[in-house]
Amino acid sequence: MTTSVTVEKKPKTKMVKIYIMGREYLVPEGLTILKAMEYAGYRLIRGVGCRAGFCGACSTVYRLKGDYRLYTALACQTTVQDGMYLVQLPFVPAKKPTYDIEKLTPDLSSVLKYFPEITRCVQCNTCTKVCPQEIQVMDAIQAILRGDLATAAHLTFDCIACGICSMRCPAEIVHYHVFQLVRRLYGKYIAKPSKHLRERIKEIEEGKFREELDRLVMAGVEEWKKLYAAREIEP
Amino acid sequence: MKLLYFPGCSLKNYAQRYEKSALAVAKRFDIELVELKRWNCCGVVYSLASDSVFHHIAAVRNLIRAQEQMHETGNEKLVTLCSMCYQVLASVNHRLARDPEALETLNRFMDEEEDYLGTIEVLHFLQVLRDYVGFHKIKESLERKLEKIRVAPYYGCMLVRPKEVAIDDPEDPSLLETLIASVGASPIEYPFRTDCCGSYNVVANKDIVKIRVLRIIKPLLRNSADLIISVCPLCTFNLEYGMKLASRELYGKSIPVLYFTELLAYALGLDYALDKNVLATLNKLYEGGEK
Amino acid sequence: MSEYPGYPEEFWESIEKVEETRERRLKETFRRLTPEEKEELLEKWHPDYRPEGKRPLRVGPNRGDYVPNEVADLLEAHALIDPKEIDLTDIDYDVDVLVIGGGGAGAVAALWANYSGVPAENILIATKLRLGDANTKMAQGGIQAADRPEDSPVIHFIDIIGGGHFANKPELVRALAEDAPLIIKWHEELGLMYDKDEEGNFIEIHGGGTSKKRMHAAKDYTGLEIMRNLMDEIWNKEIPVLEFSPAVELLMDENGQVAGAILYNLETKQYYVVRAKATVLATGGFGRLHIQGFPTTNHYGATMDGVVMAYRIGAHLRDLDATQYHPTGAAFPEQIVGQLVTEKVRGLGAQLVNVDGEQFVYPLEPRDVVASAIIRECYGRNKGVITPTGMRGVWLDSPMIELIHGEGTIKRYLAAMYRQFKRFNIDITKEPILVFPTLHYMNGGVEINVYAQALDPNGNPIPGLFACGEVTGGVHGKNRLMGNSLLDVNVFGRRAGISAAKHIKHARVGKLTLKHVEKWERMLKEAGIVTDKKAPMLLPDYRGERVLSRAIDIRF
Repeated sequence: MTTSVTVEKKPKTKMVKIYIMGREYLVPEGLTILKAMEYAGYRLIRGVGCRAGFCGACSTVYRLKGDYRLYTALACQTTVQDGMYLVQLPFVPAKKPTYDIEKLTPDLSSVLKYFPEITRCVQCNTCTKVCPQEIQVMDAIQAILRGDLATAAHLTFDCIACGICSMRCPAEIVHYHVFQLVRRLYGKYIAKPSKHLRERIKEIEEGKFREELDRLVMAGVEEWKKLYAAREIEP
Repeated sequence: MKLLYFPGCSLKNYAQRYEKSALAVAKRFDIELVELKRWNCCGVVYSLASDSVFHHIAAVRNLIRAQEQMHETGNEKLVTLCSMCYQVLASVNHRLARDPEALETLNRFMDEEEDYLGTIEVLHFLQVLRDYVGFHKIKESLERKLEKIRVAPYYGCMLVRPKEVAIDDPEDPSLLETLIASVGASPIEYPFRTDCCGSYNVVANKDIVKIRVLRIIKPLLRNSADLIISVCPLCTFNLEYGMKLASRELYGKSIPVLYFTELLAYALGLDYALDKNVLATLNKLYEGGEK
Repeated sequence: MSEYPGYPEEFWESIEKVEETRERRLKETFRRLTPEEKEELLEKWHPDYRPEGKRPLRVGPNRGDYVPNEVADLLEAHALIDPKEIDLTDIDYDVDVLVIGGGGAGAVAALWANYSGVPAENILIATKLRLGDANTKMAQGGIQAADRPEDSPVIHFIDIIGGGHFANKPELVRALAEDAPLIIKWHEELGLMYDKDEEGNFIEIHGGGTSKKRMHAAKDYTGLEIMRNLMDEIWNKEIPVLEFSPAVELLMDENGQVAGAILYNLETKQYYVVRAKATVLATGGFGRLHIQGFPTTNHYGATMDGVVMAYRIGAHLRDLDATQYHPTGAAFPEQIVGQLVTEKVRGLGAQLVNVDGEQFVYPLEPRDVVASAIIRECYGRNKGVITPTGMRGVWLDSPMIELIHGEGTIKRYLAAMYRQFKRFNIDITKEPILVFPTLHYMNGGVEINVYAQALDPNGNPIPGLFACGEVTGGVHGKNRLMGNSLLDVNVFGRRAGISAAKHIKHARVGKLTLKHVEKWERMLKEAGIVTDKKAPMLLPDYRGERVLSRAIDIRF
């Protein structure tokens, strides 16, 4: 019982025509853009990461036959279409400013200090249109401009920093850097800290569990088995 | 009745008290102001440039939001409190109704949104009070008749110009005077009630605001008015700036600047919706303060 | 019959059955297995037990130990480099701490080395792809920490060691459980957005094998949230990172200390000599070895490079015979086969059911038990669903979550999963998910002590070498529990950073040497191993057959 992981298909598989950086390739129908590029012979170094839609490495821009529109996608999560005319974005040039989160206040002024360009937003909504995670990107920038960091933090939570929004933005905003700062400000200063956590840490520092853990470490397999079987499982 | 409500940026920050008092007044007359689920800045200044439709995008997107949500209220009206937002949304709406090509261009560009059909009706809250509540109803609902209080109405420019979107006569409006009278107070006549306060110049060209606002409030400080009411957060900001200057430099005195909704809320006994200091100010005047 | 457009017609009958039994099943809890039943299930159905899948190592510190064939292939392979081609006198980077691997463990180690006093410019992170491209970022469901009053590190300890079949190193288990609340506090201070209620209390749920609810989550993007915050701090502290530069061999000095590594720039093909007083291995797991032909949840670069390099210099490995298959990898559609479907789905109440819509295992047993049960259901009892490409799977009944916790729960707390399947026209709030075990985690690896020092076969620390995260063995025994890996990279990453910072105060690196590579070649010869394989593997090769058959290396 094994599961095949190669993309070898039996003969007579339906093939589709795609164009990788302008060059035509015939690839089996049903492959993701990523696997199609590999089938075509690319052993990728850039433009590939987690292969599962979490890391934003495989940003791809493409057009379709007879369609002027520019589409964006994650190569690892998108199936090829006949006539797809594509290129990957291997990198987004955006060195982020450095800051000390301990020294910042959770308001618009902190964000403007490092990213004054967000005031250039003209609300064209291009960023929202190209986001592969369907995030309301412009709404988040606008929320920040209104001083509503909490809304922006929640709206942008699913951001994987693929950078497509930033490459397309006419105001040259690098959204994902802005959002990371805003989310940290929210998590650190706006969301309430956990009471229980502090209590537990105090207990640990005072050595409340030290003896029992010392004993457990030395206890041995038989004792552990007994304790494990006797666990009370919280419903 | 339910009306969709567009807050605008300042109502969520500097002018929160305007929103608080307005929502209370609306509720008192069985009007539920339903805030748009998604909205963004109306675009303000640059949105009014007429040579390019690109600048209308921000405003139109909010009109589309209203269009998406209008099934919740059963009507196509969108209410604003901020007069600048009113001006922007109403002007853009007005322009596009008369320029189908511009509307088509915008709809094609904004292809991720449903088409804007141009049927949203933009209202200012004052129009709602005048046309859907009625001044007689306000009179009947008073908890306090503000008989001894002399109130100066300040219209500013955004609600009464240009005439295509004005909610009252641009030369000689009377809406606020009627409102003031309906709460039992005395409306004060003075020459500069529709003069521009200087608007955004308060950011980079404070002198312009200083000159304009001092001219507006000077006649009121010669002991003729107890307070001035405003219809816009930016006007309020500028008037308060002027009052500070008046108090320090000019006459050694100033009068309070309130939103019309705060005056109304007080007259209707909706004290819960008023900031502590606003309530204190009005109490003092009501109970016979300085003349 | 109802239609489910995202699924092929041949599935519809089975999905209907799942819907029919759902109401009844909401009130049913499948019985947990006794320890004896678990043993039997694993022995018969867990891939680790298949004799054809493994063989004993013929060379090195763990000679005689059974490991999967694919692992043995790499551990018994030649070095990538020829020492004669490397000029060790020309040092490219001279640092205090070299961190090999830019995932969670590496980032945490670098940060804590910095917090412990090592200046940023004296630290170097070398990573194969980009900073953050690691399994950490892909972790979904949560991180364990016993911070509620009803819970304690003692209870956490027992859960960990039981889940690991009592084969864990107890002092490592203790460190994991005891340090956990501290890690969460550090995260809170950094600004991580864990799921919380309005009062600021963490929303904590069960994972497989936990007796108390202690899974802290950030929706189902927990790993992403942790990793991107760590990356932000690495950049804020300006700790140098060399991307696309994996290590291909560890460097020693003449006194038997580990003294850095040879890095290889994947883009320019240049090698770099890095001399370091302390070297921290944080190279992660081995999913891309596709053990026994399984698909994997792992990222592109998970090729156990660190284990290979450490083995060559004499480090002791443990528990590499224990491979973790995550019970619920996506089995449909074909485009995402093998990708992770977080345990959190089961944590929120979804049951596993067969083609007839009936339960066959308690969903929150430890992972090896659930995985084996699913394999038995599909191949032993033939009660699985068969996809058009021949893949088998069972249903994970996600719609139950909406019924238990209210409409909107999935969109809110399983945003990643909802999105992943929606891309392929499947709405998991209404339709069940087809799953099958997928290669997920390397339970074993380089043996360490509580100071994150790598050990030799006698249990002595190898001077200059530290290790943390998935590359290590002993923390999780034979089977890791959900949420303990994100914890592992933080707890031992921190310990590695602190230990490295301490070590460098008195460390003195002698003359650099690659003699161990020559020694290794001799050892291979003596063991009679004939192979053309070279290791570390660095990256898998998925190029099409036609291309591979015509690819040649021309130097121009």
